[in-house]
Amino acid sequence: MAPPSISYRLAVASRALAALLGGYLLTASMIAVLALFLPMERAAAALTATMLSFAIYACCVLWVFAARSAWLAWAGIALPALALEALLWSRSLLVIP
Amino acid sequence: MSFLTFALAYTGLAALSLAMHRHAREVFQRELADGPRLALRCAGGCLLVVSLILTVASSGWPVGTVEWFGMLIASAVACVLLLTYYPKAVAVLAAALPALAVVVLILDRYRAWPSP
Amino acid sequence: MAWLHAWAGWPAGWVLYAVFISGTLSYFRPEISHWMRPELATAREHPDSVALAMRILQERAPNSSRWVINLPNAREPTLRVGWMAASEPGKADRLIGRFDGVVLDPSTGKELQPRQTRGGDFFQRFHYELGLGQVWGHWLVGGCAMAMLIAILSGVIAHKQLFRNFFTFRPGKGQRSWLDAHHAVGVLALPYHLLITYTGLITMMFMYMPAAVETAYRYDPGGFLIEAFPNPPHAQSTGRSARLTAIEPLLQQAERQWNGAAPASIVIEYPGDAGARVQMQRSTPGKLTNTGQYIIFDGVSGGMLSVWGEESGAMQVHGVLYGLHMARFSSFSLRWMFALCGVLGTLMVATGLVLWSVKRMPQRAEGQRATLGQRVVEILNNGTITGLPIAVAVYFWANRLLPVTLAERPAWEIRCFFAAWGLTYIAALLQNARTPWPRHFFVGALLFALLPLVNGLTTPAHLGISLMQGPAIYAGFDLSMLGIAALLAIAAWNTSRVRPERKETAGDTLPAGTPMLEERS
Repeated sequence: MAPPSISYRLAVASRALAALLGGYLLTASMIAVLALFLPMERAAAALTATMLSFAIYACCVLWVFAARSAWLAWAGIALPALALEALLWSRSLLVIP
Repeated sequence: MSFLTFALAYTGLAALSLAMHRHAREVFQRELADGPRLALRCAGGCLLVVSLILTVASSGWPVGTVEWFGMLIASAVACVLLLTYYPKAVAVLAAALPALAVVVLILDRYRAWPSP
Repeated sequence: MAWLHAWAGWPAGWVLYAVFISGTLSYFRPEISHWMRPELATAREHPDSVALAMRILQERAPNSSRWVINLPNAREPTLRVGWMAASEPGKADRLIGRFDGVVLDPSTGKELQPRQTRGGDFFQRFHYELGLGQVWGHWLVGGCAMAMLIAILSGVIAHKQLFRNFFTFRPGKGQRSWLDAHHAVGVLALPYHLLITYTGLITMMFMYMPAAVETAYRYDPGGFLIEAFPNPPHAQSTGRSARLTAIEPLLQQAERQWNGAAPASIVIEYPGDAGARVQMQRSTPGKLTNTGQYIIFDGVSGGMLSVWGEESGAMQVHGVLYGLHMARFSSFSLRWMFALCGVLGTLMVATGLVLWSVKRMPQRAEGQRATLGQRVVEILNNGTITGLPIAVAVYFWANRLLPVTLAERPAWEIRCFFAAWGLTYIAALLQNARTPWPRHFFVGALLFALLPLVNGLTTPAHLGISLMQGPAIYAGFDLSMLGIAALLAIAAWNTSRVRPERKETAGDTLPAGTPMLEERS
């Protein structure tokens, strides 16, 4: 097998970024929304959302590397993240200060 | 968790392993027909469930489930090591361990002293 | 997925190996700490510990605002009594006052002077900090734990014949055997690996994923801790004196409340004051949650005031998950099963690391030098996998051989640990690819095998005595050291027999079968 090409390495780096950074931000937005909207008292909701966070993050990472292309991987991360951030912004509670 | 529940877990797993062609060949020197294989799978599954029930009955649901998984893992490790190095021992122990456990149980009852 | 599994597992692998080894040792933290303080070897449990403790406290600290009694148990047979040094009148610094204490043998009432050491606590802290401090250490371990979670999930997804090969292990076939071994230890204890990784992340989850709590409590920062983890309130001093109630009846009340479980510790706030409170904490075995179970009694009347620790819903789930990671609830045999699983996890990481380099270092023809990258991986692999067991053994040796009066003794024991570990890397650097493995494993085996001898020469509780009369912890420890020595000896023997497979490949290309990330645009 020939050694990996530059474009291959770039694609890998792009996906790694999407998974590690994008996934973390998407997870953060998701658990913030869960903490606000889960039908439990506030402490229980925050606790539950935090406990679920690692499973959510894992799903994001697996998605990024299972997606057919790097573009689709990014879309799958960025679009939900933007939607959730918009929801939080509407309640003046943006996750990224 | 007790010797008996561990023995049942081991025998259950051993039965499940012997239902696979590769391991039946290692232990019995031949492949088993579909009938015996199904029987082994059912028996193995039942023994695992019995082991779980007995463990939970003595230790409660939360701790008992954890203990059962621990026994499963320990039994699986024993099975793999035996299948690799002493395949015949797998079947021998599968029969001997529960028998031994029952003997120990009876001896325990027989020798139990009344509490003061 | 196979690609993701290899790359998630690999760089984190070195850290994870250290985490698994120290974690498995931490299951036995009290026993290790006890063995490392041989001055405590003669201590035996005794039913009258509370009376003894109360006598000491009345003698030494009658005016203290806070008394603490840690009762002896099978794993820690000493009685530890502590008190807050009396503060000057008018100063409300009760919570940050000076704390004094003594360690007693419950059976004789004598005060014991254990040597200074971090004991088993070192391994526990190393397990989540790696000696790198609270910020760097926690984040490094957390990041690697997350990588491990990804590695497990991607491994399961990639391994479609999970159950077909469940019991398969074919030794002696080179790379195929490493793969089998990695599969075997990975799959056999899969429930444990998943559990321990996820619950490990849970223990530090507020540091790693603060967004939920931070957002929900944006305008009420302290509120979360109060609502989610309520603590028993502190007692208030009234200034009027009153006689402290008898403690023994309270012990019996507590045991009834806890269905027979004994208290592990007793805290008495403002003894001798009308506002005195007695707080008992339940011992951990048998209760799955990590949340402390407390009963508060009135210090004058002896009446039960409140019970703390019963939780439900999300708090209970959190407590149980945390408790599953710490495994303090376990009985003796269950703890050993956890330890077995920890060893399997350690082997899984180790075989994964070896597999990574065995697969990517094509079978080189003799005389062809390894690339720098390959050499770095070899050295790191060897130094980590063989170096850590050696470092653990050296830590125990240092505990027995360093002078008791040495200043900064705990720090010196820890320096010996890191020095031995670092030296292993240097030794690996100075040797070529295959020779360090059997040699280092042999050194490790020797160090562990000789530990019972060192113990016998430096303390009175050597194996011959401890097997006959106890203490059981010493016998168990020495036997475990021999067991570890046996495992390392097997590893040394195995690695000395491996023959390199020869194949013609050019240096730069990847061997056939290396998983590649698929790009389908």
